[in-house]
Amino acid sequence: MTQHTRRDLLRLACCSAAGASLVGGLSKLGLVSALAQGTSDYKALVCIFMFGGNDSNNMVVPTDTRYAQYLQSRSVLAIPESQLLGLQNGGQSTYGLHPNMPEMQGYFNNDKTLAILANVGTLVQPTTQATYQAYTNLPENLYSHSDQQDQWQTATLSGAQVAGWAGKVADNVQTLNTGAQFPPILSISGNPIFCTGVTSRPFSMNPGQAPGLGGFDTSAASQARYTATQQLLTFDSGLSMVQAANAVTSQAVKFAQVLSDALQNITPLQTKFPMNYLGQQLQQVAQVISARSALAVQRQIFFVSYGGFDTHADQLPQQVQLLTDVSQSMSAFYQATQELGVTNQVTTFTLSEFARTLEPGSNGGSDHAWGGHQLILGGAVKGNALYGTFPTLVLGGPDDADQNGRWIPTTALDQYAATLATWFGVSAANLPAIFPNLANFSTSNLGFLG
Amino acid sequence: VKRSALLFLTVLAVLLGGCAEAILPGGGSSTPGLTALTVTPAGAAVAGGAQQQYSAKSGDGSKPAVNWSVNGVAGGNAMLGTIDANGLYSAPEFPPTPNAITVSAAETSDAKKLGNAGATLNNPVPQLTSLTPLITPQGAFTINLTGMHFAQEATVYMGTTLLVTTYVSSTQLTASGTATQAQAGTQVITVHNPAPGPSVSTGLNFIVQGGVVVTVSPTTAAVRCGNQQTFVPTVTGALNTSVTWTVNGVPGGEPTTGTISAAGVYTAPQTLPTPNTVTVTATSVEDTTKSANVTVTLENPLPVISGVTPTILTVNMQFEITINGTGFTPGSTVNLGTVPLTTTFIAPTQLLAIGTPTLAQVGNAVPVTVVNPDPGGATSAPFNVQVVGPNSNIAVTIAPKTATLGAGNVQQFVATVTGTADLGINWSVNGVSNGNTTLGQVDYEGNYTAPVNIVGLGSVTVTATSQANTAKSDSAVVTLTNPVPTLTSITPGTLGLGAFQITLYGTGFVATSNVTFGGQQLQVTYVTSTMITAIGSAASSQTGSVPVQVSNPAPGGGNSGTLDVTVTTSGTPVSSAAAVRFLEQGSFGPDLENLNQVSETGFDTYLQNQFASTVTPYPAPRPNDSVTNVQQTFFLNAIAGGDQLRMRTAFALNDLWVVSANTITDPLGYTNYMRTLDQDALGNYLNVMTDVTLTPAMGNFLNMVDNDAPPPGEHANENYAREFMQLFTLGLNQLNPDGTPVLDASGNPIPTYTQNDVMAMGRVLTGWTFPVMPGKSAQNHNPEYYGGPMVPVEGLHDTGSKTLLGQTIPAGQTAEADLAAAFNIVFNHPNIGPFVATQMIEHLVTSNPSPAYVQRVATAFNTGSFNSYGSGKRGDMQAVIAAILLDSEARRGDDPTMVVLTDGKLREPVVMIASIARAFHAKTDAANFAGDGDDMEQDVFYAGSVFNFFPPVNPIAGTSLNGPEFAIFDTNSSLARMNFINSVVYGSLGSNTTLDFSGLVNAGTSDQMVAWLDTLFMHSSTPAQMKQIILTAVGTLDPSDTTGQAQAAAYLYLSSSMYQVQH
Repeated sequence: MTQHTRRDLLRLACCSAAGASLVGGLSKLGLVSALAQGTSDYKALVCIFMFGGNDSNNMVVPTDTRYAQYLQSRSVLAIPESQLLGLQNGGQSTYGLHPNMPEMQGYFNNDKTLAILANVGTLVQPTTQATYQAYTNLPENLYSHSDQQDQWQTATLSGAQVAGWAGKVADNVQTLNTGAQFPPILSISGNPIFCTGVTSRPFSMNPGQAPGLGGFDTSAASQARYTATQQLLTFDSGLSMVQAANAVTSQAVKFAQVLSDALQNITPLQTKFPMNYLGQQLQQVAQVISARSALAVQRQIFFVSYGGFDTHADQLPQQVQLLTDVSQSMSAFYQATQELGVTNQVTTFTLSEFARTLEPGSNGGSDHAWGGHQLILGGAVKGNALYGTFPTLVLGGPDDADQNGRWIPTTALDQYAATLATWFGVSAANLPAIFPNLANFSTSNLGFLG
Repeated sequence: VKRSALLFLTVLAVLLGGCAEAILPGGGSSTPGLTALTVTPAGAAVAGGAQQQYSAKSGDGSKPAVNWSVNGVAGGNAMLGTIDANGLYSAPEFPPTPNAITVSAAETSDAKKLGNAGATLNNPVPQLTSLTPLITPQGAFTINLTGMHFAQEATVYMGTTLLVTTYVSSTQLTASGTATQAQAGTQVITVHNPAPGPSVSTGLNFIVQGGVVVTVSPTTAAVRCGNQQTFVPTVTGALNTSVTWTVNGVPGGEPTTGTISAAGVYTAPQTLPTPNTVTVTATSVEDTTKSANVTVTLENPLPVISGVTPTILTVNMQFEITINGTGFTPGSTVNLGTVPLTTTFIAPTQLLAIGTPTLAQVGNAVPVTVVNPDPGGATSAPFNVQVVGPNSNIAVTIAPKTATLGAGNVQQFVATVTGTADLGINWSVNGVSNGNTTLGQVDYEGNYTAPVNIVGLGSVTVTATSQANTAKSDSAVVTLTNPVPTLTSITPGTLGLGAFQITLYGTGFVATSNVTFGGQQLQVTYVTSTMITAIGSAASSQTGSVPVQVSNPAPGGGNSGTLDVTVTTSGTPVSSAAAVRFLEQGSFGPDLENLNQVSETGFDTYLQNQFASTVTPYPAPRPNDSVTNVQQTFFLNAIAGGDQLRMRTAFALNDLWVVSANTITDPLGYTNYMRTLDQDALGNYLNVMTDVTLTPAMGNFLNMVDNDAPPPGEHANENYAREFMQLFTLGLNQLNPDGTPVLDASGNPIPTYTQNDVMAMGRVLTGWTFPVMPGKSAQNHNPEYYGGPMVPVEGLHDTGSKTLLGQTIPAGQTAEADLAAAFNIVFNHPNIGPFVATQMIEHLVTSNPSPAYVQRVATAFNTGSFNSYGSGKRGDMQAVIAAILLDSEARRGDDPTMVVLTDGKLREPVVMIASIARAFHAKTDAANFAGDGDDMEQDVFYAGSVFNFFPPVNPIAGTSLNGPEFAIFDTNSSLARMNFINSVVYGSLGSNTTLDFSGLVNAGTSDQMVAWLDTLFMHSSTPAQMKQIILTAVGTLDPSDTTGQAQAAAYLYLSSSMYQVQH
């Protein structure tokens, strides 16, 4: 759309004007000390949230005798067995990936840097059909997008959600980020609660556009107006929401300049990213990682997302596009980490609020369900393996919460996230404060990272 | 002594060899008469260790068998040399003493028949194979030489200097000398054997330290960008002859100046650097102080064209061609034939060129070449393209062919192009491309806007010209004459004294329409031909009915009929601050006129006016329209429409009842949707539920459309069923009447519905499809069409009985009856009152209403009445809205002493945009506002998901407060808001938007400007400290620069969080 293109140009123009004139030199001293610190201990977690509920029943499909069960229940949504991309695991191929994810197949089979976690979901405690049907100790509001999205992002399965687990993880590793010039969490996709800690606050930007404050020049009047703007941001009106807005805007003005300075000095990435929105977000993540020395962040969490997974109708063609984009974008990002030499220091993982009913809905789609499969990719990943327990693909079978193929998770979100957090540097003692239900499960480390 | 003795022997041998036949073996005497054989060669000189073939023949030329001897010794011996049966003589390594050899042959059959040949032997050629050491410091040195054939008298030279030589053996010598500074560097050691046959070995290098010399070949080079040149280094005076390479001092070079490999292969950069010379340096590894430079002159590459797109160009039509290939530079020029084209460098592999072929260039093979400039200027091989005459099959038709427009009116023309795939059109007015302000302007979509001043123009011609063949066009004649306006309604219908603004609806409005109010001219802002606004002031003398009339000037023109508005002095006046806050909550924002009206006549007059107001229409989409045009209408209506409260309520409902133009791309879809919301916003919530559910936009967005009764193995689509209950009507958890959750014995909330209820509702909602598209017949699944509500298809409805929320819907009902029954159950659920109340309060007033406030509004919902408002029917939205706006909790901020610090809400970007445009009486086509909203993460109508732009519950980080709009307030959008304000104040909102800052600029002193802003934007509650901060900044401007002062003050006010949060 032309109007959006025009906007983008204006926005870019704003940024460069600010960068050129305003406070360009202020962060220089900080940058020097940051460079001196080095980034040998750098680690990053990159979260890809698939909004809408990814139908992972079609992302990972058993290719042994269980395929017949899948075919029978999936009916019109089933993918032909011959099209599935075989996963080679110890000479056995018992699972296949969606036909449009050949890149992920390669990382699983050849590079051995991709792991699959099966049937993970929001769980208060180990849950059976009996406890589900008794409605005891279940996550609140299963099958609701917003609630399940928030639960996946906060690991808080009931009551008020005040912070995201990534935010709390960032809080927890704060000592590793001493001297950082930039917030520990960067969202390239809006303002999700995932990124907000008890104390940590994220920075948000659009892909390809380092934000900046426009409209100021070096004239005395302009500088006076800039000073007044800063004063108004710190002026205490007493009004709660005004203070809250000031906190965000102050953060924005301060760190936009740091980021813009840092990004000006990076070497352009050679890796080509796909032109879809996910690819563009991940390209931005890679660019920021390449500026990690200037930002002096040792532990960094990134949030990107892709929408459109709520495939209630016409699922098959939509899923072709969605999973193509996911696979190509993740692959490009992995290649970028290779280019940057940080493959072993960056772990990318997927989240999605729920999987979808194995049974099709009435117009070529599927409906909200519960446990699903997730992907973890990175040099530190013990790949070439499927972790967790794959559900029995039978409607009304032992893993079904009802009759439509809504799997009761066999691995908890808390275990999944705690495994990531442990690799990132959170000590075992600090995990329960972040993941309140973790203690209800037998292990807090699923072993897919080493 | 030795040397002279050798010389003597050699001379003797030569003399003797001259008379071979006289020589006797073993002695100096001859034996005449006995020679029967001739042995050749005679008098040979044979080098030590070498071989010589002899042959013997008789006088008759025959070659008898012979026995060979040397100096009479048959077969010879080691000292004399040996000779084999075939006459092959092998000399000893060194000559014997005396050095006199006679080779004799005697016939085997007759030993008396013999012949002789004399020979002399030479010293061998010495071979030198190694030296130890290979290097020496300057001064005395000794070296050991190893090799072969060293004579006892052999001498060793370093260069031309004879060294003191000691013979060790024929394979080893030692030599010593003194190396001088002058000899530093690589010296050549040779071994000389003396006479006879003096000879010299090949030399071996010997380094005398202190003389490293580096040279590089070639010594200069010209290299084209991207090409390679191999440089060969030579290092002398060093044992280690390797070098390291730099380019302009950078080891290995870098991409901009070229790189060089360890092997000396230099790769020139892809593009020419400035200056275009670089220095390649080879530095000795052994002595890094020694190096050699080569100046490399870089030249532009040789351009090579691999392809040109397109390859068919049309005469007289501007083209843009892409040239792919290699070796392009920023200075490259593309030629078509001999004509240079306007060339843009994209990459070394791509150029763009623009030009227009002439008739003279028509041909099947017109060469395109790329010319690179100096240095190294060169022209590529040609790549032929075709230049053709224009496509005569193209035809353009324009519709309509005629139109009559008044000043400022808009007509969309549609141009249809046939005969080509290139549908591009250039628009012009009277031949002027895109027109101008005198003739009127036409945009790229064919929307022609008549000029404001049409006097004397008569008519203009709007022409659509094919871009593929500029000879093909079609025109429409636009008669520019003002119509006679009609006036159908005015909002508000009742005015208080003083300044007011009215919105007039009708037809035939033009940019120059006048409006009179009891004969008094009003200040008019033209919006569309069906809506204008006017500002004036009502005097107390005008109390009662005042006639309002619209007049259009000549050409054409005339007067509308009159409509009366009522001027009243009744009502309950409120403070200016109260009026501003009330309008922030109950409209798209105050301007000074509306502020005055609410202040003069009070809240109830405002509500009564609004509840009685005309619906501001959404026009039917025109053929070329997209959702962008519907966005534009949304903002135009929000800024100028009179039914502010209805539109603001409808927008709140639109936030709640989301559909997204990401899915609904047909402009009729969103037009129909917004009309539905406007129609029902101040009606009954049950109608909202039913009518919105049945819009095809919602049907398509949340998959109720074509949700058929499920066959075995499938279940009814749950999407709309779930979101309808969760997001639009009931919410997830059972609610108390005050909106707090009902808790079970364990203190946990209780779900409102179960998965079974969702599935039952999914079955209720089966059997609906799109309305029938005009010209089509009804089908089970009608094609996508948005011109009316969805229609039932009873054959695809699940007619089984359903149990929903504990109530049974009997089997056998129609789709419509099932829907009505189910909606009745939902509508009467106790959750819906507090649910709707909470949502609407959050959208209009505050993000954190108290339970008591929610309960009061929920009660209005449940009873259908509030004070004098409402019909008494459950779900009455007028009662709900009145209860929300008049509640003490909404109003307590009107009194500065009653402010509660947690009250308020962050302004939605869309509402803020409209609000600022209203406050400054924008004259605008509203074309840019949707994009502005997008920057601030609220691209109206383009919701990202079913949660729209922000969810109803969103904790504000670091607080215990709810802040839905904070979900789209982050570092990115907070800066976007400030940058939007920068655009507002410093004038870059787009060419078709003008804000009127005159009221602010003319307010007086900077204090008075701040007071003006305080009144309108901060309901007179700006803290003194904030005012002082702003005044200090404003004070840095020249006092005469009132515009600059006003701008600075406005920027600081509007960009502040104090404004961004409505409180």
